[in-house]
Amino acid sequence: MSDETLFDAVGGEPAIAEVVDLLYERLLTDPVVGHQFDPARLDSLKAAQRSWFRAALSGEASLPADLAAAHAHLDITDAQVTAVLGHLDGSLRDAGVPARRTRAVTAVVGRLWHARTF
Amino acid sequence: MELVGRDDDLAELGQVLRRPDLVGAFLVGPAGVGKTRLLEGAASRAAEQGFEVVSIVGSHASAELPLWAFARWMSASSAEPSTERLLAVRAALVEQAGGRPLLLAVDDAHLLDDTSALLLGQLARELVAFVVCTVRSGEPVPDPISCLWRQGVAAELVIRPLAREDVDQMAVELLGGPLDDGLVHELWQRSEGNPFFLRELILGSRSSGALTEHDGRWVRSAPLIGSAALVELVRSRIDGLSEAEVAALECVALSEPVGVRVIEEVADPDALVSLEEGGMLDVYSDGNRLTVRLSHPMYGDVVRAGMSKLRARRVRRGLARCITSFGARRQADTLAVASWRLDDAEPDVDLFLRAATEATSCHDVELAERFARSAHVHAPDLRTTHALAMALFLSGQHDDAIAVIDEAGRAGPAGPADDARSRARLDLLAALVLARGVGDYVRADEVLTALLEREPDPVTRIRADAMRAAIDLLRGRPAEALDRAQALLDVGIDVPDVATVIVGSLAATGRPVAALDAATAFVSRHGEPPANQLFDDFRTMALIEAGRSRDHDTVMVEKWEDAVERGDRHLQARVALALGVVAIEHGRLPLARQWLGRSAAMARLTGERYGERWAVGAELLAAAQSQDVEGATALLARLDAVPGHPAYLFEVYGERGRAWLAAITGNPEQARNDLLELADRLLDDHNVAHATHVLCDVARLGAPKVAAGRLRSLGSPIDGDLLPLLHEFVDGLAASDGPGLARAAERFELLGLAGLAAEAANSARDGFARAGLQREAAQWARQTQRLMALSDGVATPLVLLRDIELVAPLTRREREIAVLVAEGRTSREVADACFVSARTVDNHLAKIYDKLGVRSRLELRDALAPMMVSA
Repeated sequence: MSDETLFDAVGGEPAIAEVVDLLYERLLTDPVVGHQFDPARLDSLKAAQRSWFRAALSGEASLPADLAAAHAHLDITDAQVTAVLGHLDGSLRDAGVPARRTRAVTAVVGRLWHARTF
Repeated sequence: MELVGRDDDLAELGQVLRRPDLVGAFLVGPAGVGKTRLLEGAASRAAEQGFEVVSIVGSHASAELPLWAFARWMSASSAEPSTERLLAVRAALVEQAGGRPLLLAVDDAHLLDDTSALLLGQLARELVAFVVCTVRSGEPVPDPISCLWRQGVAAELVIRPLAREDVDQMAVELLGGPLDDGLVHELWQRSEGNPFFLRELILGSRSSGALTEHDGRWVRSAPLIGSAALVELVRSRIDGLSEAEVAALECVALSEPVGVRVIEEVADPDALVSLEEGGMLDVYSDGNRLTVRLSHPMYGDVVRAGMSKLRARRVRRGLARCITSFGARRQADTLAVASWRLDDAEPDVDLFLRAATEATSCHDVELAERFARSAHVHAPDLRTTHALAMALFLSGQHDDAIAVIDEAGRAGPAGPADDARSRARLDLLAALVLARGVGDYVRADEVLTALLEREPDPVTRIRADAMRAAIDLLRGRPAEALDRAQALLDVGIDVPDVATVIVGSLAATGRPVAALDAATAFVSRHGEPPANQLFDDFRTMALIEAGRSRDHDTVMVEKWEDAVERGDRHLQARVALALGVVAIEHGRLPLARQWLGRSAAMARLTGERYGERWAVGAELLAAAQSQDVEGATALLARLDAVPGHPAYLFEVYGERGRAWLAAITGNPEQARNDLLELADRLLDDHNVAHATHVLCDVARLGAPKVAAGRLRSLGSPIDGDLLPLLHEFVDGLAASDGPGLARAAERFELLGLAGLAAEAANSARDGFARAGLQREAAQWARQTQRLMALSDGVATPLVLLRDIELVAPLTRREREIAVLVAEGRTSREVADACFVSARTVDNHLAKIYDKLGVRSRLELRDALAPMMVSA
């Protein structure tokens, strides 16, 4: 029970691929955040997103970068962060991830976003 | 004040917060090293970055009060059961976070009460909150918290003393101007870089006049105060306070964190103000009230160590009176007030009784026992007897509980509260303890019968009657129980105890679907399931017998995790038993043994003897079905060493295990006879569900015709997917009916019962082979392989049954070629090995494929796999 990472618990690679697909469907059609994503780069965005989730949810100690710093050029507002987390929550649910796991994933992602250098 | 010299620590904490594999961090260091300041610094930065920060504090005064640290998220009037209470606190926190990530800043986590520690661990593990705790080096930390650390899901940051330049900076801030270089060095050496020590040294020396300002620079004009030890230093600072200030400090030390309104009643308000100005008290806002605490726990240690017992008692009594006069606004206040007054000369019995109930609902049975005992010592009436007996029962001290109740009975009415109603309540408890704890059904029945003879109150009568019905059910007489319970339903009072008996007895008499319907109907009538563990147990039993256990696993595992986190051992034992029985049904025998081992261990710890017997008995069955003779023999010895208990309902697993062990140790004949006898006994009492399983065992152990005959003569109605399927399986075995057994295998598989499915598949294989249907036999040999892979550890006679000649009557040449092909050789290689042409090999292969009903080399290999060993 305890050795299982959140990544496994959510359903591993296939589940994450589905969640990422659902997530971008939602993001691209949302007026609050849609303009931040370039549809031409969708495949590479999704690939990056998938590998980020794999790293983040399987508890790899070193993640690529400070999330907020990596997105600094995009001028992201708090409202946009809330919107993305909301879509993530919805995508996880749509992919059939149990509520308890969904909550855990959004909690980790939210924490990683907000935890900048102290 | 600015946080000095902690940039590295903060940066490290930031790193920890970005590690997705961590759920928390511990700031560990000696007293005074600055853990709290660092925690506050980290908390305020986290808040700036969008975290919702919630601060809680462990303290000496609250270390024994369940959930005290989370008191501000609980309502005053809550008498809900504890799970709901924990869930309510969690929900309140999530709501407060409003979508922001939550950071729980816990100061002095080593002083948290156990329930708060439990909740904290749960919140961290479930990623509801990231937890940052300060812990004093060398102090024991409550287990749910230290667990996070040991399991590597929380980081440990050792907080080090300050460097010399940090000491300089801090001193400048405290004194408001630069210091003489020599003085900085002396302060650094004396304080050993401990910020609290440093602060005490500077503030104490300034007030004693040892530090003076000359031309804008601070110098030492007399020796610095105090001795080398920090404790001595603090003591010397306290010695310098006025009498009123010391008294006020003592009040806070015994009650912190405490509301301003309360503390101002018992301590001199002016003294409190001067303590705050002197930096010894902190005033902060906790929820909607102003709260006071010592600004450093070291003050508390020193003050409490210096107080006489009498003085401490007087202060506590004053505090308790004061809170009581305001009315205990928060639920946790009841426990606080009660624990302050435990050694009072004039105790408030009502308060203790309330506190005992509160503590019980927080699963703190030890605290409940202490409160109940205090109440009982001062006022040994029926109410306090009830409270004490309940606490003893819940902590597994069944005989003591009965002794307390008996004593009250002998003494006769003792107090004004001893009315008939209290007497009835106590009798019901006595019957419960006798039945569930002591296992004396005869005496339990006597108590209930006597109660029914004199008691006019309809609800009490129903509860007593329902308990008699439950006892009937547990001792294995479900039909009587059902009659009794249904008669009670007709009276028209819908109580959970009656519904529970109905659900259990319907399931036991072979009508699990009707049982589940009854459970659902009760829940829809009342909007929620009853807070009755037996109800849940019986519903699980019905799910298993109805063949619906497949999807129930996850729910039960979560329930078990929940029971572990709450520390509820009774619940752990029962949920693990159910999970073990389900795993046996699913043919996952090693898993079953794990659960059953856990269940037995928990049942032993709680003193539930029957629970232990059931778990050990079921594990015996699992061990015997996996051919583990040694393990099964040891389990049988253990089963015989656990004293018997008249709760027969689940004893059947042990009886079946005993027979299965006989069967695998060379006495199948005796095993079958014992099982037939057991089935007769079960059927005499209408235990149709159990009897069906037992007769199925007889068939599986080699006497299907006898078993089928008995099953056909049952005559009682049965429902659900499983029990009728067991009938068909046994009929199929009796007739060696290939198609019938194949259907049974498919349906067992659909229900998730892989072990029985494999047995049916292999028997179907055998049936087809006997009928000369080689293709079908080969097909079901493959199915058997597949189903064996779905199960785990199953080694029953029916899956071990193998006969290559019956399965695949190939010619010698065909067998030779089949085996070579199955080993992965090409036709060319086989041709060379057998000195024939490749075309001849292909011709043989076509015949082999036809006989075995396979279409490819891969399928051929699978089909031969079970025979390769014996071939």
